[in-house]
Amino acid sequence: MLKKRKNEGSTTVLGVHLCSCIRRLTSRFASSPFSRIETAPATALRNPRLKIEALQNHVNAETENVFDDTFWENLTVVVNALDNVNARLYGDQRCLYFQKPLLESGTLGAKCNTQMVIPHLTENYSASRDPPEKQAPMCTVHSFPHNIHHCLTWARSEFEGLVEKTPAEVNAYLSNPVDYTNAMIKAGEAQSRDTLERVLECLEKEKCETFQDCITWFEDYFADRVKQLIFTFPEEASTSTGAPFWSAPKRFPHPLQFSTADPSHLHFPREDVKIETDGKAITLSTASVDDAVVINELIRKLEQCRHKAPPGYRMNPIQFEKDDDTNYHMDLIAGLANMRARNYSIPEVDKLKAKFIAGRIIPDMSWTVWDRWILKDNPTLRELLRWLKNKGLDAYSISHGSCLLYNSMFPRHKDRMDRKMVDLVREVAKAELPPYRHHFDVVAACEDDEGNDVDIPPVSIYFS
Amino acid sequence: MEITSVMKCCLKPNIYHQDPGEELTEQETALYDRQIRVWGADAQRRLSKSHILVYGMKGTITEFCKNIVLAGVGSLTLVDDRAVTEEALSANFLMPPDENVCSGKTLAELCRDSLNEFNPMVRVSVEKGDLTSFGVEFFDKFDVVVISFCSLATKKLINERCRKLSKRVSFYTVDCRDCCGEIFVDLQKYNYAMKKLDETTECELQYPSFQEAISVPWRSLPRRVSKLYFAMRVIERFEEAEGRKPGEICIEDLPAVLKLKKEICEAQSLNESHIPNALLERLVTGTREFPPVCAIIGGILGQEVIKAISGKGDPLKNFFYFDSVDGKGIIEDISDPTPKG
Repeated sequence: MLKKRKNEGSTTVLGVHLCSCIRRLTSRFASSPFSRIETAPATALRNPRLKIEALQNHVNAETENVFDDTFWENLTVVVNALDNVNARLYGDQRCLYFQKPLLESGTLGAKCNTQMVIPHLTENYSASRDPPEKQAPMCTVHSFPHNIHHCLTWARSEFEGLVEKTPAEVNAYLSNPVDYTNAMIKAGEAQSRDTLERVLECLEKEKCETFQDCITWFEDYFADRVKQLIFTFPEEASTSTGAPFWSAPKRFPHPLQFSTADPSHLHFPREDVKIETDGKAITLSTASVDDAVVINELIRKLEQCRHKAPPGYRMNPIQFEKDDDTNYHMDLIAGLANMRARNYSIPEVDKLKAKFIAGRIIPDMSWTVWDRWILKDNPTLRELLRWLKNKGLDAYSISHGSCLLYNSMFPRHKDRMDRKMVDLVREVAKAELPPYRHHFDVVAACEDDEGNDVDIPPVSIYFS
Repeated sequence: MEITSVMKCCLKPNIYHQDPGEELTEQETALYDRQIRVWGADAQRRLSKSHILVYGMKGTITEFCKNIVLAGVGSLTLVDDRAVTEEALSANFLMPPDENVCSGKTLAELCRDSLNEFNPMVRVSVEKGDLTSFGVEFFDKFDVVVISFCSLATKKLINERCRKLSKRVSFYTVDCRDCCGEIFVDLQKYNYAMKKLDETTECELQYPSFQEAISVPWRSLPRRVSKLYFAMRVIERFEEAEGRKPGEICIEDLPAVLKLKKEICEAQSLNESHIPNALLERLVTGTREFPPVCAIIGGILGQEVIKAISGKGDPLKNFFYFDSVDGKGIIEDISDPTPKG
């Protein structure tokens, strides 16, 4: 942040981050590596009449004793060169309060923008927010990737789930089993059940210690799961309208055969990351029962594991750090992504490119709690589809848990159109809905008018 | 006489299709880490093998030099034998403020000294002499030639010399006056991969020479073509007709300039309103460069040269204008649409 003082022709330079060119421009003057700010006075050599004052303090609510009213009142204009939105928002509020012009700027890769915030003339910086960056829809990432970004998003998500989120959940459980399990029971939903399953799987199975374990893990990801998918949706499958299921942009995947001859396959056993996993594909029983019952069962099993584990046992959650070349994080993510790309015949990328793309992805897959959509009055399948259609969504697949209730490519599912959703869930998904339960959740996979996959929250259907 | 150091020559005509060669050193990878994430290691390698020639060390060119030196080109050769003047100090931030340091050195030498410090990994050197007297073989040493504040005759001459070579030498001119500026680009026949969504398609662009571009009849150009294009051509023609050096013009010349504008418009069957008198007045009086505009034009120019060397990104074709009065940056494609037999 640069602030020009009134009348004196001087400049105050704040904050630690300067753009890359200025960083290198001024670093030649720096006496120590972390005093980039102190190099700013050196630029005054070019213009001796310019007085420059360099300060290291952060500019935020905590430093208002330093950057007090007098400081702000004496400014003529503020120029931003910040690296995060929060600092910008704070600076904007101060400029608004003290009625100072703010020249805002930002860069991202090869892109940049600048915004002029002038008192009494323009809106201030905080008046509008950028829309969240468009994420690839979940089913694209989970099952139907068609470019390397999808593969990297998936890899990033898997990484986070495997080595950060699940171990953190395990520790939360181990640190306070009673509170943790009570919270799960209270929530009593598919989400809680899912989380508990992962925690149990993590604690219960052996570490991936042997070479064989790693190969099994590889085969789970890049062979077994693919085989499962193409069993459900074979290459020649077609939708109910007769069009090929695997038409663009969907790409038909092929399972990979682990081979020691392929160096990219060998990267996985070499990764020095503590990965807790089980040796076979996760198969949930298709006969799904009431979540509450399953949750209780899972908790019981967790208790067993906890007592078997040594006292004070904790896992070590690992946070993704892409810039440390010795931690193998990027190697693992790039490896996962490239193998997945190979499954789907998508061009692979080198580690550098993977690093750039992965650095921009904010993983937000199955771990976040979504908003829910609610549909009442005991609808039929047809009514559900129409309700979604009114929102501009073409739902081609409806499922409850892991059970498929409807898919537009199966002609016999047309018979289900006028059936009540609650009946389908009881008969097809074999779900037991106890008397006190008035709703159940379904997941709908949708497309928009242009055939692009659209992610939507789970839909809660109320039947009584 | 300073001789430029021995440089690796590009043997194949089109750098984009040339193998970039050895890997970057560890030092290069560390220093250029942030930008490698933007344009990739391959592009960085090509940059580090590229040789740039620059003429006319004014404000815009110094901005451009700073940009490409920090980006890590292979070498940069500067040509400008003029001594330091008050005017040079007003827009050239590479000049040391201490006058004692300046005395006895040419503009190019002083700039070289500063640029060397910016990035010791780039070989910055000086070539003395009159650029227009250098033969075609001199230009063969470079991949990119950028000239600034040149007369119409010089622009045409240097452009033709570049075009005579069997390999492609990218040619750029840049001029900033008052608070606006113009860039001209000639990449001759340029092949590159254009990225659209998930696909890349091979594209070929055919650029006209400067002579060919300015020969395109004005009445055949679209109505909205930037007024700066026409205004710059009038000033160019005036300075040539009067035997002036570029920028050797002042307010007293305005009536003669307006008269020339009238003649040219008549000859080109172009309505005079396409070249506002106020704009010509600005260009006639504001012969000094305006530093913020130098930064913008120098930035765009740096970006274009990096694109041309790396083969990445859609190159600008073929004129760029910026005017801080309206803050607009405009690209104009001024080329003869009729295909040549």
